[in-house]
Amino acid sequence: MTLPRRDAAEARRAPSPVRPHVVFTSGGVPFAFDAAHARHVLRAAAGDEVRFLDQPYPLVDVRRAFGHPAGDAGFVVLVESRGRAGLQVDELRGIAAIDPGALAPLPAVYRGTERRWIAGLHPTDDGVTVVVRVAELLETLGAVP
Amino acid sequence: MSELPRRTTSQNGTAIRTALVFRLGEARLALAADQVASVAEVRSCTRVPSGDRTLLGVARVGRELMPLIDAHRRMGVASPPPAGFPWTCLVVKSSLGDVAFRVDEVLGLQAAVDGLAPPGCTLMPLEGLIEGAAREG
Repeated sequence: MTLPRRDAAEARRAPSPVRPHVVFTSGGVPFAFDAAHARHVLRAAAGDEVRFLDQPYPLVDVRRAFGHPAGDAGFVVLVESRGRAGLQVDELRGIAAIDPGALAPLPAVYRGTERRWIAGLHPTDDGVTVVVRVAELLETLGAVP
Repeated sequence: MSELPRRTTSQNGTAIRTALVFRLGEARLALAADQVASVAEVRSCTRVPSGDRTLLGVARVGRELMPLIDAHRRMGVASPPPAGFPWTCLVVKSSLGDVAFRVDEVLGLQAAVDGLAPPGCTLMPLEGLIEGAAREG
């Protein structure tokens, strides 16, 4: 069916609510954040920071920050928002299309600082992905000066 | 659960409620049936980072996402041995929305005088459980 010309033009202008999100795991739990914040991905790195394009990215042990048992990080995801950080994560699952406006809210029994940086929950076929606000996460973890 | 007789009146005018009786560790507990939304089999739970260690995560119950509370820990009873899913959970209505918690066994329904536990049971302090879980950590 051909759309009337005006509707088609409006459809072209209307931004898609769906955004690409980087999906990673930590402690077996899938997390996602808006891919606009991702800069680069490295294999696991040692030390306190990595440099990319002459910029420092302090390393953040995501397992420790999220209270997961210690383990070996497989990858470092360099992210940038109001600050920069290298998130040490277990596994990278790729990119998923997620509509931020369609997330299930974090249940009200969660009342701690997690409310700041968890944007919501994205149901999937095999469970739930926790969608993260990168800027607020970095602030909460003290990764932003 | 919505078809259960939840409150009737006895011949002497005493209000009688139906209570759901369940086991949590060694404790035999009861909740008024109208506080229980459903008994659900939970097949997985996604751990959501939180300082509150009595929040086990979020589980899918039907089409809903439900927070799962560690009632054993909150009530100070021995936790069941680690076991795979599915878990038998009660979904209860609270001031913070529907919440699920794992039980060891659902024992059935019993009539009880309104406000009292059925014989041999203790009424579960539901709001204390929910608020306590939210406060800890």
